[in-house]
Amino acid sequence: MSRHFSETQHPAIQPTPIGRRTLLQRTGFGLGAFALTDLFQADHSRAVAKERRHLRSPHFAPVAKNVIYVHMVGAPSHLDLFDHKPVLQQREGQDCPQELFESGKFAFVRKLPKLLGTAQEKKYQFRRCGESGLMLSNLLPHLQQVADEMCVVKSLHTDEFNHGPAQMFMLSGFGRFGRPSIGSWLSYGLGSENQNLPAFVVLVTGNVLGAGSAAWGSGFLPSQHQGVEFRTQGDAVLFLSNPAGIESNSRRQIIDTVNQLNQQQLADVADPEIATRIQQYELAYRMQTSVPELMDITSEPDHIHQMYGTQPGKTHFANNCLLARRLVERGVRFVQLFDQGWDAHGSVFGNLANKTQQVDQPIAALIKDLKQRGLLEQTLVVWSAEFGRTPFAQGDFTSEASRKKLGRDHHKDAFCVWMAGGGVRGGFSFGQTDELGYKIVQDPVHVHDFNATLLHQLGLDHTKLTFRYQGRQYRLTDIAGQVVRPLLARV
Amino acid sequence: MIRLIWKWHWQWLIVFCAKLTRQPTAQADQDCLRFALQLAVSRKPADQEIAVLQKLLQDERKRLTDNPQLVDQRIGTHATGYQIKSADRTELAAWTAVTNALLNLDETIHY
Repeated sequence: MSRHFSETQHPAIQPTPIGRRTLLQRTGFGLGAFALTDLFQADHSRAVAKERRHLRSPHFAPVAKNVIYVHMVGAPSHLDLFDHKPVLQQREGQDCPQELFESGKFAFVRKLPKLLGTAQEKKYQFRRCGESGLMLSNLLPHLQQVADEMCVVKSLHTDEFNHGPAQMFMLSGFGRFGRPSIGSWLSYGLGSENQNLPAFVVLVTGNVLGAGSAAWGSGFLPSQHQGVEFRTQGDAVLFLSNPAGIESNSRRQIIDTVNQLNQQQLADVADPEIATRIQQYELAYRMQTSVPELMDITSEPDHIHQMYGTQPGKTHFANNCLLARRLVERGVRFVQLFDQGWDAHGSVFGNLANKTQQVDQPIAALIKDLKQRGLLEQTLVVWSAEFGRTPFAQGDFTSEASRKKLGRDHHKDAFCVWMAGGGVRGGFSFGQTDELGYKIVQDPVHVHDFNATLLHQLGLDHTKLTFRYQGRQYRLTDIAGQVVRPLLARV
Repeated sequence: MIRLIWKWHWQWLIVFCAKLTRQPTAQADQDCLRFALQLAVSRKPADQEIAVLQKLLQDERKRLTDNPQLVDQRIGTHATGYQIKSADRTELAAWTAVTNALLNLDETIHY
């Protein structure tokens, strides 16, 4: 059964079992009672019926229900982590082939550079892992243990070669601001399974990425679909706690008053953004209870903390991985983690050793933990970045000291991402680059293809998940994209 | 998300208005609420809207009279430096809730 979202209007005024307008008009002054009964009563049948109203049917039976999407901000060197290139190591220090260099566009390197292979030390070398024999860098000892769960795409390519545009392109299918990000499309397409939390939650370590909060923006979709950033220190959401002297009953009545007045306004002008605001105030009220409980990771047992390497009370990638699991357990559709600091124009190997040490254990623990809880099958874990790094060096080879500072420039023509769980083939690598890792020689996967595949696993046809805006239908994959079926465990 | 916009000078203006009326009679409340809502949304308020706000104001007054510690908590953190008579403190605290609602209306934020 397929359903064309394209046929419908704005979701706020779409027909649901009870039209949302009718619902609001009928309940009118008793809106607040909805939230209260949910919080204080165990009236399951009503709660379930209410949740159904917020859920939408996918186009076909989904394999995955949730996504945990980890974006490595700045772009890690895939050549030193996932795409093993022994020939590049042998040819280190030689000039980059002229025709290759001239075929590309780079952020910094202007003169013909020299090739740079993965460092020779043992800790940087690759190893065949698991039963599948997937090649992974020794910088990722914990991920090496879950290699049989990983589906590595070695032939991804993108259209943008600078961070901000490439981040937007990867996450919204468009290199500039204004389009909804993947999580927003999923919130719009599938709705939320937990009425007490947003459908799309964002957790950030390090500085916010160059694209800014537009990377989790809802673009032209109703703003209820935008990602909500949870901070890991202080209030998880700004102003989540009530101010001094405002108790919960006052807050409840203030929100009721605001919603009643907004409701009259909605009845007058029928702007769907007012409906969104009414819902968001209700959600915010419920989040005053649900979010502190969610964010309290100290309730987790010791062995879980050891497994992830969490540091409660601090902002740490491991904490965010554990929170991601807790969010998915609670039915949050799309959890987006951003981790800053991978942009190694200099000292690429020092940077990699440092950064992989921060993320390797937590992300491997996340996969193991989801698996032991039976959640991995329905949760698609994605490791992604805005692009890859060049096979040639940025910097010069003249002295021992300068060699240590060599980095890699941005590379858009070939890079790696990987997925785990969510019905993708584990212990599998797809696509191939040339012996230098410069160009794709087999099975290229464009960003649109990758995003189409992601939607497919959640039961959505990327050509049908559309929204009409400025006179035409828009989609995450623009007018391109094909599901990459070889990546799927069940086609 | 809830945008808690605490624009205190607005609230002071409204409290000033409340003080002008001396006694919080129902009619004075309605006049102040009318003034406040008009200040927020730049149009003449409807009677029904005033009724909704008046209910909040009355309930808040009762809540604060029953729990006087809330008055100090609300005012203590924000109104330091101002000399306020104790009778006015409860009024200020009650109007804090009302103006919080007014400033978070879609119409206030959006138009």
